[in-house]
Amino acid sequence: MTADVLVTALRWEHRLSSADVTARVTLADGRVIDTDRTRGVLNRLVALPDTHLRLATPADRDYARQEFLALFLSWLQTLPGPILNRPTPQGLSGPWLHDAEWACLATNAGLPTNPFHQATADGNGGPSELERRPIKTVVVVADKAIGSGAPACILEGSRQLARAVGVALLEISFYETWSSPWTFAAASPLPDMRLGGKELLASLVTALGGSN
Amino acid sequence: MILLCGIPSETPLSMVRDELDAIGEPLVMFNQREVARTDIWFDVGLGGVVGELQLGDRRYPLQDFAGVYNRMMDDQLLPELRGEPPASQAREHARTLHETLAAWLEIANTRVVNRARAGGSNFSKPYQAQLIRRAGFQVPETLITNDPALAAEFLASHPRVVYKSMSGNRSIVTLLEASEIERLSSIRWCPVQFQAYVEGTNVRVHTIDKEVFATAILTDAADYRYAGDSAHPREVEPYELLPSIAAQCVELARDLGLAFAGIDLKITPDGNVFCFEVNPCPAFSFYEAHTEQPIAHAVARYLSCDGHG
Repeated sequence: MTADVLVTALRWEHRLSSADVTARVTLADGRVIDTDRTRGVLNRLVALPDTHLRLATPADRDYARQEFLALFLSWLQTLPGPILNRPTPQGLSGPWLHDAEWACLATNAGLPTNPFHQATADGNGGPSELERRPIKTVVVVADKAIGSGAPACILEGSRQLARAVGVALLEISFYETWSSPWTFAAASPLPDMRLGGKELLASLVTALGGSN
Repeated sequence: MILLCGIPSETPLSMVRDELDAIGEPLVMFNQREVARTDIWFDVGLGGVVGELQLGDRRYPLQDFAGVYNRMMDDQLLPELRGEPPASQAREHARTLHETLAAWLEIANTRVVNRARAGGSNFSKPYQAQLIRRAGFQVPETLITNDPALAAEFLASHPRVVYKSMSGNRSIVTLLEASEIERLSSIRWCPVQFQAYVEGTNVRVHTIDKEVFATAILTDAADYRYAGDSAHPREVEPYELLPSIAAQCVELARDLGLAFAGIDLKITPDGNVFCFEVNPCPAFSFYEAHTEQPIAHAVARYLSCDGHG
């Protein structure tokens, strides 16, 4: 399901009460996504399109955009079974954190990390160090770290980082520095799935509850 | 030393500043209106997070702040930036400064009231309702739909129904009248949140760490925030919560990561407790002004680590 298809669904029926939380989404082509019939979700939603709101006034469009985001956050949270990744207020498919937070968390997870610096004097509010060139990647899927050639300590640190952030799916990029051939560069809850090959695919199937 | 961030004349901020002064806690005020004369930097490394805040000619090590009370408004709406083009140097500086300060607040090894990440659930009321429900509170029966027929059916099956925004957008909670059924066709464009109206007493609970202040708001208005006129008079008075409910409120705020929270409850005549929302940035001054409950004092004590574990 693409974001376009979901956002233009024919009918939304999301109910909450003290007893139960349910959602039933009827798409324009008649297909139905029902909390009762979903048993796993690979969630790659990042942003919601708003082209269907283009005729609204700017104020109404902005209001509706936020309402849709609020609805999707709640709806994704409602879906049962494994969700890779669960939605968070910081991102529909997992938290998009500030570089400084990633640097802190990576350090705490035991990953080699270069010092991070941010200042108003830098002008753009971003890190001031020389351009980072991530050249190696580890992808964590449901506590399994996959990364060709990565030493055990890097795989373990990557798992720790995913646990600390509370995500099942995380891409961690590394670059080579004079101090470590695997220095933390960045992390994303939206991995490039091509990087993990068949091992990643098999892990995804397992994590989503399928037989492998 | 405590760092206060915002507009100094804003009532909640000035009340906490007065309380910090009263208990003799040194404080530093970052006045957003002096953004042009403010700079900040920080480093993250193996030694932790270190940095410096420069206010005019004075410099303060960030690691010296034992607590931070954040009441910052949207920097792009500051009066000082009125008339500035969107990409002007002044706007860029304000944006960078606030982004850097906000980034530091998320990782600072200090007490922050509150971190932005903790308040995120308030951006989606139904999402937050799911977390509230898990904490053991009752939540009102709710339907979110873009189907007019479903909305009409929901209206018919409840004595009274209100509608309100799902997002962090502030909206006036409004009763849906049967005469408005024809207007329901417009919800096809954007799903709307409908809720069964819960009869009972509105209670705003402020939790500060483990301290709890409950205030009853007595009114017949659907949204007590907009009551107080001749049509819908309003009375505000201290309320004694059952210890178990007070403990539940403390636990909910803790689960959400909020050191200071404004929790909206409704207590029905038969004693059921419904929770509607948790506000991560409560403007408590209204409640304190009406009841003299020492909320600002509790925030000041929390920030200064006095009496809080």
